[in-house]
Amino acid sequence: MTHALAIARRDLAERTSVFIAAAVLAVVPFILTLVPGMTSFSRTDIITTMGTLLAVGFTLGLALVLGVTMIGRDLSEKRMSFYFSKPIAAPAIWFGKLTAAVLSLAICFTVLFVPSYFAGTTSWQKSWNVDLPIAFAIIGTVALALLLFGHLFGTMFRSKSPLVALDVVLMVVTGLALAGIIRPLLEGFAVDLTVRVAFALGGAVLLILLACGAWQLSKGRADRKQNHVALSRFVWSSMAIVLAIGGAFTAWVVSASPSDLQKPEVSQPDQGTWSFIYGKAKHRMDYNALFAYDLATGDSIRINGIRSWWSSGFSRDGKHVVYVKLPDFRSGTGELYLMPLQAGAKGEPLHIPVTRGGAYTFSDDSTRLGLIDADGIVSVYDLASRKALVSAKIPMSNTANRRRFFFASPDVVRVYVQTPQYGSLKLTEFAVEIYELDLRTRALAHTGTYRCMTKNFGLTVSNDGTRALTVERDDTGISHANVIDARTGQLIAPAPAASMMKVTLLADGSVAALTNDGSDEWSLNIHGADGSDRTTPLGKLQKAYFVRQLEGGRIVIAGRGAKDWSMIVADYAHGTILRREENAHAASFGYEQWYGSDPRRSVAAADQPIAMTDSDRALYAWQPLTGAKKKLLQF
Amino acid sequence: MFDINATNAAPIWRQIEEGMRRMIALGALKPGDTVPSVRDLAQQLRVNPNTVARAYQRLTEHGVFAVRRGEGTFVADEPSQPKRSERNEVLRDASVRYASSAIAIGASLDDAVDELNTSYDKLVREHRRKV
Amino acid sequence: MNQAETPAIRIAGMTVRYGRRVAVDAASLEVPRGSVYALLGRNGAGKSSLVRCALGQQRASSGSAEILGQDSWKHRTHLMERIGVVAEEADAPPEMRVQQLADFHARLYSRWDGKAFDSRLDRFGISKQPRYGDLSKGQKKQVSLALALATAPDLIVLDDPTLGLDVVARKSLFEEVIADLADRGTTIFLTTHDLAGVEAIADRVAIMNGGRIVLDEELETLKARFRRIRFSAQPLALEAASFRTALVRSWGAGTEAIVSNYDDLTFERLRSSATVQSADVSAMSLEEIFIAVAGEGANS
Repeated sequence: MTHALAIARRDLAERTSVFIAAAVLAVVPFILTLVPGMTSFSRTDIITTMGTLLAVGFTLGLALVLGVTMIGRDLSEKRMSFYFSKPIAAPAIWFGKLTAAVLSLAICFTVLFVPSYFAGTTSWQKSWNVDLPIAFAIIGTVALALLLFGHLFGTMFRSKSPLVALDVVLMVVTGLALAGIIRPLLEGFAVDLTVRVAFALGGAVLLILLACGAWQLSKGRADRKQNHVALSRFVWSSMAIVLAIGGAFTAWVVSASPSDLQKPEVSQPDQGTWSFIYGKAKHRMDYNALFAYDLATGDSIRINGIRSWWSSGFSRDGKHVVYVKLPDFRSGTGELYLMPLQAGAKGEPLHIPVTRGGAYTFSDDSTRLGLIDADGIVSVYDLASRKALVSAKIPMSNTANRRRFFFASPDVVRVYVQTPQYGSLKLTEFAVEIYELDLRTRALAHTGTYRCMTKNFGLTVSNDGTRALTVERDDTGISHANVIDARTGQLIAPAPAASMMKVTLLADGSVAALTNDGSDEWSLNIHGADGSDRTTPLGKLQKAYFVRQLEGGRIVIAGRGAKDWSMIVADYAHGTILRREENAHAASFGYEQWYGSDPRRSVAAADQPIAMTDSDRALYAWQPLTGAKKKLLQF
Repeated sequence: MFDINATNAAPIWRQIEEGMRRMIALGALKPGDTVPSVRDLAQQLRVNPNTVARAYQRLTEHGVFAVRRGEGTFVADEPSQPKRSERNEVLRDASVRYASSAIAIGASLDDAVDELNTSYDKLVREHRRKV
Repeated sequence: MNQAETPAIRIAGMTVRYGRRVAVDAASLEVPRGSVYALLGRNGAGKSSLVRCALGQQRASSGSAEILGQDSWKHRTHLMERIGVVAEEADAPPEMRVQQLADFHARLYSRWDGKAFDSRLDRFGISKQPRYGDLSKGQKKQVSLALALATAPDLIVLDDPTLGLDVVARKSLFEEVIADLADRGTTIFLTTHDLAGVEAIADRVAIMNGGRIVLDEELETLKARFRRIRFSAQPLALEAASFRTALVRSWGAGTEAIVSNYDDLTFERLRSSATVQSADVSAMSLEEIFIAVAGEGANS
C-alpha cells in the first residue's frame, strides 16, 4: 500500500508540466472575452461554455494519452526493470500509477473547470442544462474508460507481437457476443432490462480493465511481449466468464414459457385450438414474450415477433398464422413470417417486406395471402410459390382510419376503407368505400359506398360475404345499426341498435343483440332477416358481450355479474340457456370481429375449446357444451 | 607496495604472499611493523579481499604475520623463514622453468647462471630503492 | 544447508526462448555466498537474458532460479529488499533528480543508508541536483551503483557495469565494490566484457557461449590448467602427450597449441620426445583464455 503511494507520488511529480499547462489554459476563456468580435456574446456565457469545453476536451485527451503511456512508455523504453528490481509488488506498481493518472485527470479537470464555472454558475446551468453530479459522473466514467482502454490497446498494439491479430479477432467476437446478449432483450421490447444489463456489462468490463494491469505486470514483469500475453490471457478469460454469465442470463430471460407470463393477453381466433398469449414475463422486468399456444394440448411455440392487432393474422381455419418480425422495435419495416400451427413448427420467412401498420388476411382455403401496407397498396401473394399475383393502390387510403379486407372468393379481395370526406364543410363526414380487386382481370373496381353517420363506426360481414352489419354511435351517444349489402353498401334494413361488442351477424343472416333496456336484466335478441324477433332472457348482469358463435344455432356470451364474470351458452334457435359457467371469463375479448383485418365472423365447431380465465388467474380450455374444464396455466 | 600482475601464471594470493615475504627479507618490512588491513590492501591493489585474506592467513599460519586482537595485523617479531623443504620446492619449480627456457634457446649452463646472478642483484637493488 | 551455505544464486536448467530463437540453453550455475562470480560471454551470448530471468524480471521458458535460497520468480518482491541491481541499461526515470531517486529508495528500503549514499556521490563527484537523464552514461552507472550499495544488500548483481565508463571511473567502480565486499561480505555477481578488471577480483568465472555455459570454475584452477605451448614440430607430436587442446595452429616452422589440461610433467615428456627439439610454455591471461574458449576459432 505504501509502496503504491510512493509510486503514485513519483509519477505525479513528473506531471507538473501538465498541471501548469492546464492552469495556463484555464485563463484562456477569460482572455477570449477580450477579443474584439466576441463582445456581442454575453461574457459569462463565453467563459462558461469555453471553460467547460476546454476542461472536458483536455481531460479526455489527457486520459487517452495517460492510458497509453502510464505503463506503456516504461515498457517500450525498457525502464520497467527499474521497478522490478525494487522490493515493490507488481500490483502496487499498477495501482500506484493508476492512482497517479486518475489524480492527474482530476486535478487538470478541476483547474480548468472551476474558474469558469464559478464565473457564472447560473449561466452554466442554463447553457448545459444538466445536473452537476450527473455531468461529473458521465465525464468521470468516460475519462476512466479512455484511460483503461488506452492502456489495453496501447499494450496490445505496441508490443510488436503477432498475438495482436488474435486480440483483434477476439475483440470482434466479443463485440458480436455482446450484441448477441443485448439483441434478444431488445427483441422482447425490454428497454429497462436492456439498460440495466448494459450497465452491468459495462461495469464488469471496467472492473476487468481496472484489474488487468495488476495481473499483467505480475506475470509479464519487465518484458513487453510477456506483458501482452499476460494481459490478453487475463482480459479474454475474464471476458469469457462475463459473456458466459451474460449469455446465460439472456438465455434464461428468453427461455420464458407461457406460465412465466404475468397478466397476459390471450387472443383466440374463432376456429382451431391455437391462440396467441402475450405479456411481460415474471422476474424479467419489462421483457415481453409472445407464444402461439395450443389449448387442446398445452403445446406452445415461441414467436419472436410483434404482437399487436395489426401485425398478425390467423387463417380462417385457425391452422396457420402470419406474424411480423421487426429488426428492432423502433424500425418501420420488417419481415413477414408464415407458421403452421402445430407443435414444433417454425416460422418461415416469406421474404415479403412489410411496414408497420399493415394488415394481413388469408383466403379461405389458406392458399393465398392478402396484404395492405401503410400506403394503402393491397397485394395478393400465392403462398405456395411466394409470388405476388397482383397489387393495386387504394385511392385516398393513406388518410384512411381503418382498412379491412377479405377474400370474397379465392380470386376476389374485397376492401373496406373508411375515409374522411373532404369537400364537405363538416369534417365529421365519413364514408366507407368498398373496392374489389379481381385477380383474373387484375383490376381494382369501386363497388360501393356507405355513408357513415359518425367517425365511431364498426363493420362486420356475414360469413358468406353478402351482408354486412354496421354499428355507429352518434354524438349524443345513441347507437345505430344497419344491415347493408356487403358489396354495394346499400341499406337493406335497420337492425336493433346496440354498441359494437353487443351485436353480431349470425350465420343465417339474422342480427343478434344483447340488450338490457335500462335495468340490470339482460336479454339476447335475435332479429331475423324476415323481420321476426326472438328474445331469450339472460339474467341479472352488469355487462355482457358476444364471445363466439357455435354451429347448431348456439352462441357464447360473456356476462359480468355482481362479483365475477361468467360464460353463458345460449341456444338461440330454441331460446334456451344451455349452460352458465360461473367464475369464467373469456380470455380473448373478441376484438377481432371489429378490429382484425378480416371483418367476418365464423362459426366455430361446438367441440372447440374456448380460452377462459377464472378469478385466480388460471387459464383453462373450456368446452362450452359439456362444461369440461382443463386447467392449462396459472399466471 | 608491490605490483600484482593478474595475468601472471601465479595466483594472486601467492603473488601477495611472495611479495610480503620479499619485502620482509629485504628489510622493507621490519618485525613489529603494521601491515595494511585486508580491506585497504585489497582496495589499493584492486583485488578481491578474499584473496588478500587468504594470503594473510597463510602468512599468519607460517608465522610470518601475527594478529593482535583489536589492534590489527603486524609483522611477527621473529618472522619465520619458510622451511627448508618449502623453500626448495619453490626454487625447484622456478628453476625448472628457467632451465627449460635456457635449454630451449640453446644457452649454456654458465650463461644461464650468469644471467641468474645479474637478475638477482638487480631485483634486490630495485626493491631496496622502492622502500 | 544452513544460511551461510545456501548459494547466493542457484540457476538450474534455465532455458530462455524468444519465439524460435534460443537465447539461453539449459544453463546451470551456482554462486557461493560472499564470493565474486563473473559471467563472461560475447555480445549476444545470452548473459543479460540469464540475469533478467535470475532476478525474476522475466519468466524463463523452463528451469529455475533461486536467490538466497528462495525462488526468485515467486518471491521477487521480498528478495529485492536484500539485492542491489545495477542494470546494463540505465533504467531510472530520466526526469527524476538524483535527490528524488534517493528519496524514492529511502521509502522502499528498510536498510537505506543515506550517509553512505551521499559520501559515495561525493567520491564520484556527482551532485544531487541534476536530472538522471542529463547525466553522462558513466555517471548514470555510478549513481545506480551508489543507490544499490546504499540499500546494504546481501547480493549485488552488476550487468556489464563498466560499459561506457572511462578508465578512471572503471577503477573507482571496482574500488567501491571491493570496499563493500570487504566491509560486509556481500556476494557479487557480475557480467562483463572487461576481463582485465575482473581477472583481479573474481573468485569464480563462467563463460557463456551461444546460450550455453561452457565453463564454470574457480579462476585459479582455470588459469592453472590453460597454457600456451609453442614447439618446433608438427601437431602430431601432441597426440602422444595426451594434452587436450583448445586451439592448434602452425607457428613459424612449428606449432602453437593452447592446452586446457596442462601439467608440468606431461610438458616435460613432450619436450623430451624425439620429434621435438624445443618447446616453450607460457601462462595465459583470462582474456586469452576467453578468446580461446569463446572466440572465433574456438572448438567448443
